[in-house]
Amino acid sequence: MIIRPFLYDFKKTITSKTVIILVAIILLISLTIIPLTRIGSGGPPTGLGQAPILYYHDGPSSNIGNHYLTYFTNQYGDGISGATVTITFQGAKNFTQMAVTNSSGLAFVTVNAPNASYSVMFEEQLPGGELTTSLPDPASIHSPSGVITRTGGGFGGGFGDASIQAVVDKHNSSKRDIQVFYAAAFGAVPSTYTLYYKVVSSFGGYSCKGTGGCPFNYTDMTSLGNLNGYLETLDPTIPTGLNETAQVWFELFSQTKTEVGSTNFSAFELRQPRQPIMSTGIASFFFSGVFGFFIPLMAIIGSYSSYGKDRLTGVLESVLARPVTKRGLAMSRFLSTVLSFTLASAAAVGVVDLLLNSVGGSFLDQSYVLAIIAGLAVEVAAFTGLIFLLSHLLKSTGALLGISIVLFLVLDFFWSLIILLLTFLLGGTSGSAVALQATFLSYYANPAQFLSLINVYVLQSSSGVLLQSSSYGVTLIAVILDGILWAVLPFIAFLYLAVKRD
Amino acid sequence: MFSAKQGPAISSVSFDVRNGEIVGFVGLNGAGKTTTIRIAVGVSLPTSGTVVIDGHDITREKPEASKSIGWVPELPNFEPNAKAWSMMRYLAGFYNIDREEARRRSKDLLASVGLSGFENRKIRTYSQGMKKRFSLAVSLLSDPQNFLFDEVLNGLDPEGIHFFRELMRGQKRMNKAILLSSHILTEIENVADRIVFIHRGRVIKIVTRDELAAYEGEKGVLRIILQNITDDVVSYLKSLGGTALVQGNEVILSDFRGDSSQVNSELVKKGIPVREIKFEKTGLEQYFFDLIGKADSAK
Repeated sequence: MIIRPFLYDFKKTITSKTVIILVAIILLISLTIIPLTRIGSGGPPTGLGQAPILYYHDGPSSNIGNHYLTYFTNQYGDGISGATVTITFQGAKNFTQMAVTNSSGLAFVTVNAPNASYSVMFEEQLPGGELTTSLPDPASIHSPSGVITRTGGGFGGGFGDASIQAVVDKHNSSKRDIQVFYAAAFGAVPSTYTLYYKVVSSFGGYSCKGTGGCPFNYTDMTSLGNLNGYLETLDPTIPTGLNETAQVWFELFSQTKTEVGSTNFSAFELRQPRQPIMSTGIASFFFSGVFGFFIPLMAIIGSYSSYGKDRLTGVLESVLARPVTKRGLAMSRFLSTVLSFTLASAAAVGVVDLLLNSVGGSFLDQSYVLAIIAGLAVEVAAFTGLIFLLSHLLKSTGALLGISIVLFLVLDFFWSLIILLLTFLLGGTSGSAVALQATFLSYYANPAQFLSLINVYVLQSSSGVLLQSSSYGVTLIAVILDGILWAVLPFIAFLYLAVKRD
Repeated sequence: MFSAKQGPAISSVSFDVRNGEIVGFVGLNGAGKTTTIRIAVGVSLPTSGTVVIDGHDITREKPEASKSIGWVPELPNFEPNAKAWSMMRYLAGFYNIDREEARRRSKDLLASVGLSGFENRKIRTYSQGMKKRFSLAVSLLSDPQNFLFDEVLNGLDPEGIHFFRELMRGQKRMNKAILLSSHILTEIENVADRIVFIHRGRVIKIVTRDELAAYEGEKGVLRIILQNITDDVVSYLKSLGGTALVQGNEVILSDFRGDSSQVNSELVKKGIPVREIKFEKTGLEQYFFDLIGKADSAK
């Protein structure tokens, strides 16, 4: 093969007007995710009722100050400003105080009320809705003045007075960081407190060691970092290769090494998302739905333009008469077409990732992005190979266009309907395990559904439903083999005809 | 070339074209001229046999063989939406011609074939004659040693035919080898050093210019226009041989072998006024039909 003519034809193909227009269309298609991101970001940024509430009082007197600290963040631990917090003391006389969260998502409310028994109502108002919960009667909290006590948001925050929660890592959505919320005596910034952590192989079998730590003493743990404010987000280093029962304990210690809060998470939860977070959910829908629909169409049009039309109108002969082999010309046209559309698709995936990051504050998982790009490359190669192959089996451009349209409609447009009908004919029902398995297995036979296959395998979910893909025949080996076959078989058949037949 | 229903389009085709020679390639429609040329150029695959271009097998050493081929097909077919200028430079890339040289050659060649001012027009806007000129310019890009012209004269105006004829003669003077297939047999007669006759996919005869001239000198058509025609005159003319056909005052003697001036003298001696007497050589056309007739009857 002579490299220079090969590269020359390569350059001509990728710089042809049709290919450039199609590449531009693919990039524009990626922008259509913007409306989806708006839909996806429209809900409440965090769960109502989850806000931890810290409390301290000024001391015994006839008219004491009751102080409440609370905060609201989104899933990444970023503070939500502008949320309204209202605390009402209902007793012989009612007392109400309101505050708005600051730029850090913190709200400070002080209710001055005579020393008596009250029914306390806590009302939070966020853009996503409002929630009212009851808090303990201050008279029932027998802590000394100035000592911090957690009075709300106990669940998910662990044990003790400090709140220790997991939030999504901004730079890697498959990771979870640890966010600590606490205040020092009389509501001061807790700058002398340190968070420790320890990885253990199982949940049970641990006992508390008094104030020295529950269940571990700080000397048995690893320091994760000091608190520099009421809210601190820290990134623990979790070893890889842990078994499924492995747990990670977190404990917050004061300067005197007294524990003020602890909690534990499974190591799997901190490193493996149990279900796709919102941006991945939008992305998976967009990639398999929108890209899965348009990329095959673009590949078909591009292949017709770069090879099929030239081959069937005889234009290719004007090139073939030059010092180039049939194999060389066929390969350069195929590879340049596949490369053009794969690069365009990869760029479009990058645009989608950037847009999702700008809205959700987190990039998609790199391995997921790479899997999607590989899937797009397979779809492009498969459809390019099929159209190139058809151009050697058919006699006219009209026939090629007609068959290409039918191919696109069947594989891309009506495939789900066909599978549904087949499921019914075989006695299955929509949504049943049999139907799901039939659908997934049908993906193997259809290059236009390869992205769906990848989504099922990588996310272990389909249409938002969590599942174990291997139970339905979707395994890594099978997906890789299917991808290789679709990328290579049509191309080899086409190359054979291009070289051996006129 | 093989069709399961019809068998191979050509078989038993063997001839050479030497440097400094123009070889005419003559045959009826469907005889296999274009198929032969397409195989020689490398755009069609033979089921058997070889075509060797300057020592390189076109099937096995296609790039090397193609470097020394300039091909102008009967109906040049380039990317219709491409501009002539950019198409020339694109095709030049296949010959390892660098960008500057390709630019210079393209400009010179387009000018030499009369397409100056049309370089930036899309090829689909070209007339058939312009496409042939463009195809010729492309065929000259690499200054090849061998040319294959397939019915290039079809559809050309007289100026175009003259242009191609002079170009072929110029290339011949440059010691290039040229294979010219054409239906216009007078043009073949005018320029060809040898003529290859193909019929039903087989080469039935290869003749040199001298052999053809010798054949042409023997037979012809004698046309005599007389003042008056009598039975005696007709009897006399029939006695000269060949077939006599009388049309008014004109007597046409086909397959005539002899000296027309001697016939004229005899008629004058007999007192028969002759208004016009003309001898037309039988030529390539008749030779061609004779060959086909023999080939068909032998079959």
